[in-house]
Amino acid sequence: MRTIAFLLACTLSLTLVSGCKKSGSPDPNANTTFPRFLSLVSDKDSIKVGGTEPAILTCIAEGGNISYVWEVDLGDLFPLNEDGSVVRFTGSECCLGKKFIKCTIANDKGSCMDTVIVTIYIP
Amino acid sequence: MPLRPAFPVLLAVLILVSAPSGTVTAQCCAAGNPISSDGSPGGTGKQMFEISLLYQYSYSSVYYEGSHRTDYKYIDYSYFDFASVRLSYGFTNRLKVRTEIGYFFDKAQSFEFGYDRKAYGFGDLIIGAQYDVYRNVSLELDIFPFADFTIPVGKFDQMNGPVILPIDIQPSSGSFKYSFGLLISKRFFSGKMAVFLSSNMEISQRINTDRTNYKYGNLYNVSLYGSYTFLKNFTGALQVRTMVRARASDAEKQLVNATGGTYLFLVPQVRYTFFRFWSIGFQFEYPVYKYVNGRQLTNDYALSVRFSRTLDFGRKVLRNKPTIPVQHDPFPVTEP
Repeated sequence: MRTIAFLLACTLSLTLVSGCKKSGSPDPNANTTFPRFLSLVSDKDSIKVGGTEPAILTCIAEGGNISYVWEVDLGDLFPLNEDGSVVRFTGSECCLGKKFIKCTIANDKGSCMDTVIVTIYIP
Repeated sequence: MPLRPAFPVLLAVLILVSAPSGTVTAQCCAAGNPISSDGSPGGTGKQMFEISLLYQYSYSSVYYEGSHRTDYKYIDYSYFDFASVRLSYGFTNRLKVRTEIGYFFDKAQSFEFGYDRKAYGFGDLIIGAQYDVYRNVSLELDIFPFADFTIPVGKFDQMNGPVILPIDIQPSSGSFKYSFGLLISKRFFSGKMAVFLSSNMEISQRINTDRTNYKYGNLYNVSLYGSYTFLKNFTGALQVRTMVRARASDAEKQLVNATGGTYLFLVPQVRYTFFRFWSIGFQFEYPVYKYVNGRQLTNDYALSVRFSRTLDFGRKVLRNKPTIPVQHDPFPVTEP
């Protein structure tokens, strides 16, 4: 009798322990959809050369678990927030004219790219 | 004209020259390996193998407009730590081939408005050759045409968080380059003193990728170099080098503002040779004149150290010949 009780107690304990395990973190990609731009804008269409008056570029996208990649051939981009959806853009004299700044959004379902144009000029 | 038996050893005096591997403008905005041409003739004898390690530190902080310094600031300062390994081998007494690969430990820019960024990684691979087309032993005069081919094997897509870094800070130049040049060497006092005149031209292929459409301007170098061996194993040298960089062109094939210029460098060097086949050299590169198109960040100075070792695989030919100390050329000048 005591043996049975002991075994039952062990079984119960094991069950409780296994039941108290933290369930695994939810899969971040479980509810994602193909990424899509909602907006990609710059607060300025044109900026002076130099770093004092940057253009702030903001990307709003949907799809879940979005990553952002920004690129431009000439000019300087720096992220302004943690997820990289907002960046600042400036350029020196070697970067005059229309600059095509590309933003690529991606998640596990795919990627999508769009462009915003900012002109750099000498006042 | 018959060669003196010791001539291959004398040829070992000459260190290999690696033609410029291409940079955009001053070292501040340079992509790819810094130029590593010392302005001196490179040459090792038949079956002579040389390995050399270079370390260079370069710093840029001054903006120029034309030939005048300005107080303008955009990039506060820029610097890099660069190292390269170079191998050269003399297949014959006249033909030598070489290869070089570079690595940036650190390539950094600090902006006046409070942002910084860095890159690191392999730069470009350079493969080249030189040939001693004219050799006058009695006059101690040699003429070497040379050619180099640069392959952008290194990183060209480094990122700063979510941002792909622009080409001026990427370790690799991203462009194939072709360089052709001519070097004339004249030695005096049995090789104790040497004067070299070198010129070369570098052409970059247009970078045409999804991300970048850009062509670096052509690069032209003329260098006059003189060296003198004093004491037993010390050689001092001074190089005066003029570099002209044409303007770059963008995706629309338009010339890019504020690129290109003309520079005059003074490059004192000192080298110490030991154990016959080893050498260590130090170099300081200072731009004494700058003229830039538009307004550009320019190089303040560059410091270099080169360590070399020569192996004579044909030594048995010289086994019974008088020993002549191998003099290693000053190591290449690195372009800002």
